[in-house]
Amino acid sequence: MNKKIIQFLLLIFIGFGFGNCGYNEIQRKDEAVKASWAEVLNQYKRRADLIPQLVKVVEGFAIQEREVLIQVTEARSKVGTIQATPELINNPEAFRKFQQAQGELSNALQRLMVVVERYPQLKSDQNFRDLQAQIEGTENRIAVARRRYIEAVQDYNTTIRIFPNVITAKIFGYTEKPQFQVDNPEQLEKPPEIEFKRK
Amino acid sequence: MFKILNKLYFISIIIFLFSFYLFSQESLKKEVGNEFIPVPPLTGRVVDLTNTLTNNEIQALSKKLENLEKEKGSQIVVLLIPTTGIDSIEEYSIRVAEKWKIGRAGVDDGVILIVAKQDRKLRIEVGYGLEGAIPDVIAKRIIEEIIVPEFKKGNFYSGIDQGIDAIIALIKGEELPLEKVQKDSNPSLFLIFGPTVASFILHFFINTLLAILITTLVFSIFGIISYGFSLELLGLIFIMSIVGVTWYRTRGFGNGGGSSNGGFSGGGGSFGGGGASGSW
Repeated sequence: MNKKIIQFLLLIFIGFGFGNCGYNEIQRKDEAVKASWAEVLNQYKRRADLIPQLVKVVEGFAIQEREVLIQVTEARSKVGTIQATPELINNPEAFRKFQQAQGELSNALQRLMVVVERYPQLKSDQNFRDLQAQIEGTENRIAVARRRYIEAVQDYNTTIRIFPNVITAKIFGYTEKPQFQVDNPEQLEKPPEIEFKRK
Repeated sequence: MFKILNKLYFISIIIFLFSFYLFSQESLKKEVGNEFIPVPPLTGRVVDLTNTLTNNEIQALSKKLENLEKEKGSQIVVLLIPTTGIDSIEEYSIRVAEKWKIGRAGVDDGVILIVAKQDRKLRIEVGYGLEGAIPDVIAKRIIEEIIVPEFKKGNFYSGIDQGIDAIIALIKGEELPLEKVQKDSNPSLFLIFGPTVASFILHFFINTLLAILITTLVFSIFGIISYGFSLELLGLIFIMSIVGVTWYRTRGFGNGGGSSNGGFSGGGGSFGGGGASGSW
């Protein structure tokens, strides 16, 4: 009688204890990574969509800042050439290129905003202020989406590495997903150069 | 003697394997990193840690916000803190949003107005579900045209009150689900039917009470590991294990639903970082 119980309990523990070796958990976390990546792409796209209007409005008041405006437009085009698809996270090289392009666009935008400071008429234009609000909102959303992606990837990568999930992961071909790196470590050392054009 | 040793050995292997499982399954809760300024507890709809508002003002505001929730279901809260520390107000605000979970789960219709008084910064944090009613541009305008002018004159209550009025007006104009939305709970079916099956099987080997207790214990452990400590879940497991031994005896079984306690709490809404910030 006792032995039966112990055998039965052992069965329960082994059967449920190793809980399908984490297969379900891996699935869940993989989906979480995909979902958070989709959100990141969503917000990056939103930013890219706002830029043409922004350039137009700034041009209306500060056409002489041609160089910065061109930089922003070019950076945006460069981002557009990289196919922003869910598949990016399965291709580390493409992922890195994508991240770099987005980083350059961020830098160009920052330079533009510094320049704008010197044009009070532009700053008080309602169109511009609306666009600025939208861009600031989008930048914040990008930051939040990136953070959540980083957390989802961290969670997923950890899950497929611990035992016994690591076996399941190898069997079904689940590999680590790429993580956001700090964009340009060297550039962080240098303070951004601000050119002052003489009018 | 030998038999006992055998049994002990056996049992200790089971415990060893089981504890292996326990330790290998990481807790799903995320560790929040080193916070310089922690998110304060949600003590009410208006949390003022700067002693700016009088009790009457806090009550009047809270009443307004409570009426909105009764009418539309949406939640707005106001938070006044001295400073956001090393975080920018955006970073701090999203942390508050993730902790307090203002707004209804699934509808995500929450708004948080944060004022960092010493920093002279403020932010309106808008939940996913209200990004249509309160786009970033509008939030910015509320801040710039309604709230900041009052703050610059030192009229904090007036600024907050008028800002809240504007937000409420926007929410009222929005189509939102009317009923209280139940939080979409989907504990794994395993945890619901597992106890039923297990206790049913077990009670043939050992007496009923023991079957129920063991089943509840085992499945509760799984439940806590997967979903964190949740009284509702544990209660459900317990009930389901009773059902396992009684279902063929009685038809119809009433579950007592636990209602949440009084006082204000977040409805489980999520935020995506939408809204606007400003300074005065």
